[in-house]
Amino acid sequence: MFRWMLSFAPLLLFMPTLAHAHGARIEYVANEAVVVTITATYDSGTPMRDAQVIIYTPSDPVNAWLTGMTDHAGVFQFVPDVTQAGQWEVVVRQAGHGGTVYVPISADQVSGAATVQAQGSSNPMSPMQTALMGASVVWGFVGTALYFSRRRTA
Amino acid sequence: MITSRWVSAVLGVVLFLGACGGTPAAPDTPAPLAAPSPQPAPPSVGTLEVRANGEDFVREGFVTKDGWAIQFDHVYVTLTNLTAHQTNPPFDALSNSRLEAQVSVSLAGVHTVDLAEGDADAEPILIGTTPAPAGRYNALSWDMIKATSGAAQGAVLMLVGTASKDGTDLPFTIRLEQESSETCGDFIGDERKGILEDGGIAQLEATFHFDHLFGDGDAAPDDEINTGALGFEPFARLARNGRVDVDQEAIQAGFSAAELALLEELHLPHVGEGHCRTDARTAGR
Repeated sequence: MFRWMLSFAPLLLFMPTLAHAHGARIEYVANEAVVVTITATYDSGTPMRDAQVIIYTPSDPVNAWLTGMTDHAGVFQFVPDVTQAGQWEVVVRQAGHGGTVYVPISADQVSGAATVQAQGSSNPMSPMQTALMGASVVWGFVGTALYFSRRRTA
Repeated sequence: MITSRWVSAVLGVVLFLGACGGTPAAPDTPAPLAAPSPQPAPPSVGTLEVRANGEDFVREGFVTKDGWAIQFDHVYVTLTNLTAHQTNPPFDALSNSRLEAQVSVSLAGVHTVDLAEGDADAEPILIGTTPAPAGRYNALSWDMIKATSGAAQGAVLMLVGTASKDGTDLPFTIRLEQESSETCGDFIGDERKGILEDGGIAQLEATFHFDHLFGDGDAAPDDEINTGALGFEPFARLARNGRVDVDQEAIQAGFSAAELALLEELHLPHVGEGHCRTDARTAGR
């Protein structure tokens, strides 16, 4: 029997900033990432050392997004792609025994504006619906213009 | 002129909208063909195959934690109420949470299967198939009950084979009679199972880990699989006239309290390597 412990450890990962002193505009980019820490132990508390770890994204439960091994303490860390919000599956297997933990990843877990915006759209329409609506509006203007121009030439 | 143009335009728009608004046709006007009402798309359906697997331990034999080489002739298990579920949140068999299924599909009937059937390379035993809505079946539940007929009559699980150690061959028949309800999460194994696409076939598997009962001689004595296993020695001790033939009553009478406690704690049913929650069977499930 296995017991699973799961912890989330938010960790800021800042990219090094490039600085040019001769009047150049200085900018920096900071990436903030969520680091997920998986700890796998047996009921006895013994760590599952060197166990196989397989990670699936919410959108693809068939093909592994990442594979790896736990360390000597039964620990495995990974940085999920936070643009893929939902339940991430982490499967840990060893010697014919295994278990799954489900890690909920949401845009709220990062404060990077771009990521939040990408995940936080409130537009209820699909891109196709948006395109159709835009085309209809354009066609309305064109149709009206054609109507009046025809009346003038008549 | 501008005024008349605007009046004409507005009038035209009004007439156009009126036409679009579905003004009733005059009685002598042939009714226009009604536009075909949109038909709901047929539901996506595939086929679920439910299998039972005793793993290589049953098909090939193995050495127990206490050095008995086991070969099985038959391993009968009787199952009913086999039900595949699409659950969200995913069911965690190690928690006390309820299984929350959005879709459940059951396999009718009572099924006694012989997990030792076939050779060492045999496929897991097919219990049955059923049409099912497409989706991801990430939980499986079933009841283990006593067989009411056949070779395993009266037993939930019946093991028949030969145990060998130090030149002694000990034929055995072990009948376990404790009924239970098993509720399991997602299958865990070398491949993903239970993902059913429209028109496709997906498998689910009830897996039975007999190394949990007897231990595994290939693993270290202090390995988790052996420290929690009973081994074969307690059964060998109950041999009479060169064979072991025991049922639940004989086990209760012949095992020590510690051995009985260990037997009580064992969980043979799994889904691949994934866990199941075992409950005392309740009528009606």
